[in-house]
Amino acid sequence: MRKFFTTATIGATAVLALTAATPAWSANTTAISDVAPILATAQTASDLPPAVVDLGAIGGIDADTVRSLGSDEIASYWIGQTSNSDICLITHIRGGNEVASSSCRTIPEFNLMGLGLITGEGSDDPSRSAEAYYLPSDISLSEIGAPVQADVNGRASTDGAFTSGRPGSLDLDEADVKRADGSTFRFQPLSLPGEKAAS
Amino acid sequence: MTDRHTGSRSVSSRRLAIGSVLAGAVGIAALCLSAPAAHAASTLYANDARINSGDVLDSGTRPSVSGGSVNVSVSVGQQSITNYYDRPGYTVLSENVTAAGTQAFTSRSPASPNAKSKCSWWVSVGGYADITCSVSD
Repeated sequence: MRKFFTTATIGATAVLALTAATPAWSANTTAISDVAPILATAQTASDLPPAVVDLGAIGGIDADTVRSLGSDEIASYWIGQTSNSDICLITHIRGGNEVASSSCRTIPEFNLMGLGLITGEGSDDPSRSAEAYYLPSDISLSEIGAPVQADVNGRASTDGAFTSGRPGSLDLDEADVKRADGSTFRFQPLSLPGEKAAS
Repeated sequence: MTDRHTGSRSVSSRRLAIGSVLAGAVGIAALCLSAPAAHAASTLYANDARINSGDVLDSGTRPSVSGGSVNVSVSVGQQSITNYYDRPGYTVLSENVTAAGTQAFTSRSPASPNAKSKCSWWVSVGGYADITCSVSD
């Protein structure tokens, strides 16, 4: 019995110590409101993609989770989640082939590497393609060499982790960003096939 | 005795069969009622296939292509999925380039007849990985 209490006391102390030592924000966090606060906001009608974007065909994304990240001259961008809570970056190239694509990761993977996506009607025509990145909320766009980009709903300033442009125009930097908890966020910009191979 | 026993088994079997048919019918009806709106059927043309960096796997010509997906087993390098019309007049219908290891999807609307899909993975240091690619009609 004494052994039981001793073990229980050690266990409880360890749990308390771990709780005290864990910073409010951790690389291992899986709370979506921590890594992508925009997904914890209320959805509005302007968040919904047009019907031509078949969320089921691009990863089974739950329409109720989709939030707009904004639009540029040819493309619109959203973030959303699948039924198993993976987080997805979605791009729709308006008109033409009505290309819609997504890139999805688990929340812990997103937390360590973010999401990036180049999509469109082929690398031969960058004017009909888009390159986009969405980063965890504690990573500043300036740390990867990207300007902060306002979105159509004015939420970028609070969620500020999205950037986009035509492929090859963003000039982003590879980056290893040290976090307060000692972990490292690793950013790797994408390149089109035939460009410098990714490491 | 044997006959009676056999007869008893036959009646039981008949009841069981009728019960099974009824249960099956109810099950099918329930499935039909609960089925979501039809989505394009998806076909794997690479299922954990071992490839070298830079290799391209191709679905061959499909009656109809609306989309596709790619996922590589490793988290280094990049992966791509491209739906296209082959030469002459090579035309990309839709393309997705992402970091290796993500679940990546691309689609276009409407679907394209007699098109192809191809997927690839590449990394500067070379090597191999397992890739899974699908095409949707």
